[in-house]
Amino acid sequence: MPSVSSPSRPRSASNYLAAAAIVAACTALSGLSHWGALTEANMWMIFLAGTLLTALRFGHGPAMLAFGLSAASMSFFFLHPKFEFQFSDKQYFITIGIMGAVGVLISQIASRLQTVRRQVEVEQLRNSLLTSISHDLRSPLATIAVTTSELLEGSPEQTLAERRDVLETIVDETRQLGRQIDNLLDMGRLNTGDATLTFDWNVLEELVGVALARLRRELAGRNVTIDLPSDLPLVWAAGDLLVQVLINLLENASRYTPPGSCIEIRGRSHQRHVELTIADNGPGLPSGSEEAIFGKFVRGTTAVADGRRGMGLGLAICRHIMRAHGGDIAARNGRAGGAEFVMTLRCRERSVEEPADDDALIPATAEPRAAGEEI
Amino acid sequence: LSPLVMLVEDEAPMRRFLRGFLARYGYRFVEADCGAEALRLAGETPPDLVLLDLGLPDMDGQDVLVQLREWLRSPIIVLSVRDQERQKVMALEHGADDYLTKPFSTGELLARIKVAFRHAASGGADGSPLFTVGDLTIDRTARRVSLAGAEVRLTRLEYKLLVTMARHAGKVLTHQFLLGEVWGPKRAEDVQHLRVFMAGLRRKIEREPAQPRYFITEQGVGYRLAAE
Repeated sequence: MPSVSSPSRPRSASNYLAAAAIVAACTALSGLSHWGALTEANMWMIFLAGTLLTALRFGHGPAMLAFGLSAASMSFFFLHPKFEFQFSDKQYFITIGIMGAVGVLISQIASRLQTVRRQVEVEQLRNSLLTSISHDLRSPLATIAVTTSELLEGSPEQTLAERRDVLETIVDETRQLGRQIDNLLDMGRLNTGDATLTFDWNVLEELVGVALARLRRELAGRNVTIDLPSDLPLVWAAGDLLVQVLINLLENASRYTPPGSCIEIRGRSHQRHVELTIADNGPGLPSGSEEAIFGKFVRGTTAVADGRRGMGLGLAICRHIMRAHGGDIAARNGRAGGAEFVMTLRCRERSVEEPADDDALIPATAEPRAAGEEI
Repeated sequence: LSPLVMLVEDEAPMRRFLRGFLARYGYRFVEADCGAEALRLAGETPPDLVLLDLGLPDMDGQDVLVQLREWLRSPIIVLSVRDQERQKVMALEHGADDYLTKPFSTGELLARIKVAFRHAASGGADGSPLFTVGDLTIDRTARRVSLAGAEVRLTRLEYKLLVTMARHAGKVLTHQFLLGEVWGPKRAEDVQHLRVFMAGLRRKIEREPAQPRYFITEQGVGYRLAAE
């Protein structure tokens, strides 16, 4: 399951500070209007409003603080005897008691509402996830089922080429199904903090190579150019996960561009990060959808040229993975048209302390040459 | 008599496919659908090669591997699914010769089997000072490396890495194995170091380092030098 961005507010010191600030504001407001003949009852109302606001926004604890401070402030600044914490009239205890009780009540209702809202959100997320998964898995499965039965029931006149076509479709869809399952597994591994996820310093070109090799079939009709400078720094990554991101993006690029299109993989080093761009010269992204396609389980509208871009889990998982890397991913349309996906990754220089160190580690039988020397 | 292959796989459709494949290429074979059966059959007639699926119903594939390796010298190729990099590395440490990730093509399977048989027959040394694959030639007496006839200048460690890989051409080599062989036991954990060296080697030998023809990356496991 994807992690739910819950609206929970930690009961941190800042919430209590905010409560105190609200009471201070109420005090100031009552003080300012003190000379403008604000009745005592209205001052109580101002403090009650402050306490309720605190209860609604910051929960029970801060509300209780606001309540206490309000009572103290009223007593000290506004009620006779002034500048003393004393109540001359016992009636005030009723006022204060009701104010406290209302504060508690409101904060409890607020927290219950929040719980309900969170449950609804989780429920909605679960539903959209299920819909997405079943779509992502079911549509290739449906194609496979239909095409295999076509093959089984096929008339004897079916030519070899026709049969081959059908088989090609089955292979493609099966591979697609496999990738979707990989995506789900990766999502699960990320969310459960799988111990087999190992982050370390990687050579980008190597990971790009692995992704390209796995997609050889899908990219067969595309013109892939690779522009990765040899001095590109090492990137911090969990190899398999970054490969999965690259596979998603490259597969996406091949799916949404006509055969013969160009796909460029471009790496650039910046001061603190490496930027890896996968650009194609296809129809590009519908304007305005550049951010939405990363949303959880966003479905492309029918207005989208190809009808399916951004559908399903692929891009949401890409973003999830990139953020787990301390990086990110964004999409845009290139200057010359076509979609561009830009990933950022943390990096470090490829420093290999070659000579002195290595020499010492070579067995004595090796020739006494300097390690960096060419043979 | 053609070589005897033992097929250890619990999925019937996969077994059917492998059976057809082995028959087509003229191998004799025996089948086991669980670990206990595999150990029993191997004891009766030691196979010349084992195709071992790691996910078996009755026992852990790794245990089957360890028990076979206690006495069996024939190559063992492990079959596993993606997402099991740790399992693959463990299997190689337990004495498996290679692995194949499902789903694989018949071409890949045949290549692995051939390489395994070749290494089993040669006992590790290929018996010739010349090693050639594609345009790449290594002359191990002259310590010269050339690419389509043109000399490639390598550092001493790059050469050592290349020669180590050539000795096991076609076979997967773990990061730890390569680090141990080339840099010695002290460096055995420094995978990053190996990656940078491999990148250097690729720059000198591959036409397109991100689409290697010779130095194949086995993600999460190690590298393989192409054998053909």
